[in-house]
Amino acid sequence: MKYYRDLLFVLILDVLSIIWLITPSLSVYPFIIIPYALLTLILPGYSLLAALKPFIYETGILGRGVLTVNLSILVTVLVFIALNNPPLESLFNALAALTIFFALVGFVRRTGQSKEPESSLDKEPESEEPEVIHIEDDPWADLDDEEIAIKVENVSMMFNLSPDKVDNLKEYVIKLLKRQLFFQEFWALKDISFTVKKGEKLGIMGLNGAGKSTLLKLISGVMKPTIGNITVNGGVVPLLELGGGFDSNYTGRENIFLRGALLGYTKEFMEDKYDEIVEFSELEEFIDVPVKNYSSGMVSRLGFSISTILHPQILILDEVLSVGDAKFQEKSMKRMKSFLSKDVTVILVSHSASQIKKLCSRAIWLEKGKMVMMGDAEEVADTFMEKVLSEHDQ
Amino acid sequence: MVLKNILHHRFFENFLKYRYLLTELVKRDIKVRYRRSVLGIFWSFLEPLLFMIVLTIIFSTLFSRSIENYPVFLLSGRLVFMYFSQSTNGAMRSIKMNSPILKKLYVPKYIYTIALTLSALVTFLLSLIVLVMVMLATGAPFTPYIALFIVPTVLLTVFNIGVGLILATINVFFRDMEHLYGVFLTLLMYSSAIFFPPDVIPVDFQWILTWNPVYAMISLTRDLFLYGQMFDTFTLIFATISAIASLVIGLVLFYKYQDKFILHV
Repeated sequence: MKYYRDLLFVLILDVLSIIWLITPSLSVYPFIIIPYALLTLILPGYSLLAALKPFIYETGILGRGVLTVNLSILVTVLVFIALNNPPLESLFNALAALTIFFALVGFVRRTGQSKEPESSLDKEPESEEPEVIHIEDDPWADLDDEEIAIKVENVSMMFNLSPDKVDNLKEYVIKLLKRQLFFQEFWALKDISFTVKKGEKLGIMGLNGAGKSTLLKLISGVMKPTIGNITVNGGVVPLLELGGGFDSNYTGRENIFLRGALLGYTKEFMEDKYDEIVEFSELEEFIDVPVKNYSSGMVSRLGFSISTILHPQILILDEVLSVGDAKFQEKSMKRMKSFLSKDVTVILVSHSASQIKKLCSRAIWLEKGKMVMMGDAEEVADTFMEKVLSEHDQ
Repeated sequence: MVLKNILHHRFFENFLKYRYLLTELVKRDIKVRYRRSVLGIFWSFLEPLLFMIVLTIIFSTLFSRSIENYPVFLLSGRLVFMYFSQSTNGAMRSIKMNSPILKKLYVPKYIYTIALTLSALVTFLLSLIVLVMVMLATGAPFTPYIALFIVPTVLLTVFNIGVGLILATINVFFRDMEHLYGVFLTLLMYSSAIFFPPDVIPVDFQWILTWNPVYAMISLTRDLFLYGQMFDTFTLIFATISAIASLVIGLVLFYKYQDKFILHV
């Protein structure tokens, strides 16, 4: 199918540039014409390229970028010259003829060769909906808004899982013309509602692909839900998995300040906390080394230290308590427990039932984007482990 | 009342909250750009200087009749254009470049885009030193009007932020924008009369210069540094309108699509 696209593209571009060339009176309206003219001046170059594509790629002499830029400029300059010098106009015409010739040759050659496999758009058979086990009534329904940290109301999240996602202008125009813009819906979360009180510790359990990370991203504000509402009172500090999101060319010290800035803290505050962070992460010797030279354990120690020492109001932990060596794990567990007594709201995602039981009071169990159980952490964790083990036995 | 509402808008409150982040990001961009090179920040002096010397050798005899001080003419145009191209090019990539952190942390996304523009501004201000040096070396007259250079600088910065926001938004959805824009910049350079006098362009095509916002900025700068005179009124008005229009379009477009960025980066 590819050659059709290219040819269509060339034709559209050629038509556009011809329209521009044969309507000199349009220059009366400079406001409209400037963006239009500048665009169409690029188009001849681009169209020549598109036409030559099959031809030139096969020879493999020139790289893609070099070719695009140089040829586009060349053609544009030629257009300028041709417009002012009548003798050169014939040269330009010859070039245009050549363009069409190459387009046709390329078209013919392509027709003989490749055939693109038909993309299968068959929908996967609808998997059965997971059964709801038990969802307790909202215990904080009567509380004032001020006492609530997070309120999630009927939240659903949809993604477009189209097999060939269009991410460039050329394909978009072509697919739009051919009415081929497909969308395949995938609901990562379906109608989730819950409330978290200030200072509460909530656990989220579920197998891979249950929608846990999506839920966390929604709470931290990185994504907006397709349907529903999320209200968050207070600053959210997400603890990124394995210290992701550091600038690898930056040293540990620079990264601490950058992360602090990203979380919205001031410079003075960060200078205040800096020593404590370095001390807890045990990275004193390496703090002026670029993070790209850190081991993965060191990176996650740094991430953990920054996020927990900044005294967040709401802390989001995504599978992070297995960070570092045994000694650091114990230290981080201790640190987490110190949050238990404090007024920090914690949302913990974990596969480990024991961690959830130790650190959380309530828990949610997600399955295929649906909430199947919500209630006392012990109960949820036990039922979850039972289910996982029984499925494993089968 | 309306003004108060506008000032309390999320945009401005966020701006205050994240101004430390903005400085950190600007610092990072400059550091990263010069960390690898031996000459460091001196590149921003040396590069325009070398460019100017080469082009002066080639073109000064050709254009000496119509341009009094070719080095200053060339450099003032070139510096303004470099600021525009550097900042918009950077801003265009800003969202894609920061996508790893964008996926993890909530930060107003325009901060990333504006940071790139501002880091280019720092380079631009530094390179103005080169311009002053060249003016001294060529014995160009210094007039009090030079103090007004803040006007084109602010206009250009506003214009660049707007264009940067527009490009960043488009680039998230269409990744071939980067290639197209590279070509567009080359075209723009030739239609901004940077190294040739504006009257070289035929009368029929003079409108390209008249309605080119980048050329308007260049000609404002030249009024001050080269001709030592007050701005041309029409050019000033046109530059102001295009700066404000670009900022408004940029902000509206960016705000309309920013929630979808995360699904495409």
